[in-house]
Amino acid sequence: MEAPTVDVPPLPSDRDWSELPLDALAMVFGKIGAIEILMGAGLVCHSWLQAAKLPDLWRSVDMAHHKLLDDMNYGVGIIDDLSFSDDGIIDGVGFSSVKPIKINNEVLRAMAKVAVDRSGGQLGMFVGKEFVTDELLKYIAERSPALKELGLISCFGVSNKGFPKLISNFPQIENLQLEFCHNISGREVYEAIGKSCLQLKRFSLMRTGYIIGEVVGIAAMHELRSLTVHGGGLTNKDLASVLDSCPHLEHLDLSGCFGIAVSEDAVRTRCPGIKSLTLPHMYYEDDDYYGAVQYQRECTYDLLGDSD
Amino acid sequence: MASAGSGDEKAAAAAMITLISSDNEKFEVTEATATLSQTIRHMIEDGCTDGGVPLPNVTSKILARVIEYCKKHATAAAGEEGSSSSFSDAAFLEVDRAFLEELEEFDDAFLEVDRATLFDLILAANYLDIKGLLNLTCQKVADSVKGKTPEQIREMYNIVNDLTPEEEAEIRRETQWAFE
Repeated sequence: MEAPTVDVPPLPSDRDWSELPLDALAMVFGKIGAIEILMGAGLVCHSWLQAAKLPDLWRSVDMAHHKLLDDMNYGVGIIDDLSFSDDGIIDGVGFSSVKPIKINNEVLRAMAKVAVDRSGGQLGMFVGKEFVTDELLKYIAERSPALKELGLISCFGVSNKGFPKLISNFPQIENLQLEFCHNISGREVYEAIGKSCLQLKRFSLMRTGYIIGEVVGIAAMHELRSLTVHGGGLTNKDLASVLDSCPHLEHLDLSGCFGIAVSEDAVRTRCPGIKSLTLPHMYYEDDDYYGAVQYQRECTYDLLGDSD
Repeated sequence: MASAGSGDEKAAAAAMITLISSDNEKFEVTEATATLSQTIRHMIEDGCTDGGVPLPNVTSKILARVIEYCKKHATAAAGEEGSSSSFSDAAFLEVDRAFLEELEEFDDAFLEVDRATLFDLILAANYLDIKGLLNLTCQKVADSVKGKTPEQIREMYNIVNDLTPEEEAEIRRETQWAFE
C-alpha cells in the first residue's frame, strides 16, 4: 500500500458527472427502468450511453409501470392522438390539452426492441402493457431463449393467431401473467401454454369475458405452484380437473371466479399441498348473497366430486 | 448489510483501525464500522492495516461523512443481531421497526448535501465498496433524473454532450423518439 499523498490538488467545486464510475451509473440506471434510460438518462453523454448498454441492465425489462403510461391512458402528454389508432385502444377524443411528449404505442414497441437487443439474449423478464403485439412478441421470442417471466397487460395486439405458436419459443418460462388480453382465449391456448412451458410455476389469468370451458385448459400446466384466475368462466368441474392435474399447487387465488361454488375444505381435500387459498367473496355468510351461499352449500361437494 | 462473523464478533468490535484521508487526517474507527467497506475488510483479512489505512482517493471532509454513515449502520446491524435473542417476537419486531425508522430518518438527513458532495460520496462508496451507501446515494441521483429529458439532465448536472457522430447516428436509428 502506498504512503498517503499529502499534496492533493483542490477539487473543483463542480464535479464532472460524466465521470461517474460505471458501477454507480449501472446502479442509477437499474433504479429508473427501461423507459427512463431509453428516453432520458441513457442519452446524456458518451459515458452514460456506454453504461446504458450494459447487458446486465436489460435482464429485467418492466415497461408496464411508468408514469408516462398512466398519462397515456388519461390523455395527458400525448402529442399525436392518431398514433393510438393502430391498436384501436384509445380514440382521439378528449386530447385537447396536450403537451409535446413524444410517446405512443409505436414508440414503446421500438423501445422494447432496443431493450431486447441490448440484453444480448439475456432477457429474463419482460412486462408490457397495451403496446405489445404478436409481431413484437415474435421479435422477443426469437432473441430471448432465457426468458423466465412474461407479463402482458391489456395487450389486445397479442392474439390467438400468434400467441400459441410464439409461446413455444419460451420453454424456460416459469412465470406467466395474462391480464385482460382479450384476443388470447380458448381452451387450446392454455393447453398450448401447458405443453410448451414445462417449467411454468406461476400462472395468473385475468379476463372479463366468459367462455365456458376454456379455463379447463389450465389443467395442462402440470408443474404449477401458484395459480390466479379472475373471470374466464371457471366452473366447479373445470376446477376439479385443474386440481387433479396440478398436484403441486401451493397458492390458489380464485377470488374473481364467480362461476364456482366450493368450500375451502373441498378444495384442500382435493389438493392437499395448498398453503394459501382465496375463494370468491360471495361465499361469506353474513352478506346479502344468502341465496348464493345456500346454493353453494348444496352443490359444493357434488360438483367437485363427480368430475372423475 | 455487512456484519461481523459469529464467535470473534466481540473481539472485532473492540479492535480499532486508523483510516488516513488524502489530506493526511487520521480517523480511528472500530473494526465493525470499518468493515462495512468491503475494500477495508479485505485489507484487514490480508493483515495490511498496521500503521493505518491510507485512502488517497478520499478527502477528510468526505471520509468524515462516510464514517458517520458506517458508524450508524454498523450500530444498527449490531443492534438487530443482539436483540433477536433477548426479545419476544412481537417486541423484536417493534424494536426492529424502530431501528428501521431511525435509520431511514438518518439516511434522509444524510442525503441533504450539495451535488459536489453527493458526487464525492458516490466515488468514495464505490472505491470503498460500501453497498448500502452506494445504493443510497445512487437512489438520490435516480430520483433526480426521473422524468427528465437528456438536455434537462445535462443542465442539472453540468454535463457536456460529448456523444460522437457515430453514437448520435446510432441513437437516431434505434431511438428516434428522442430527436423527433
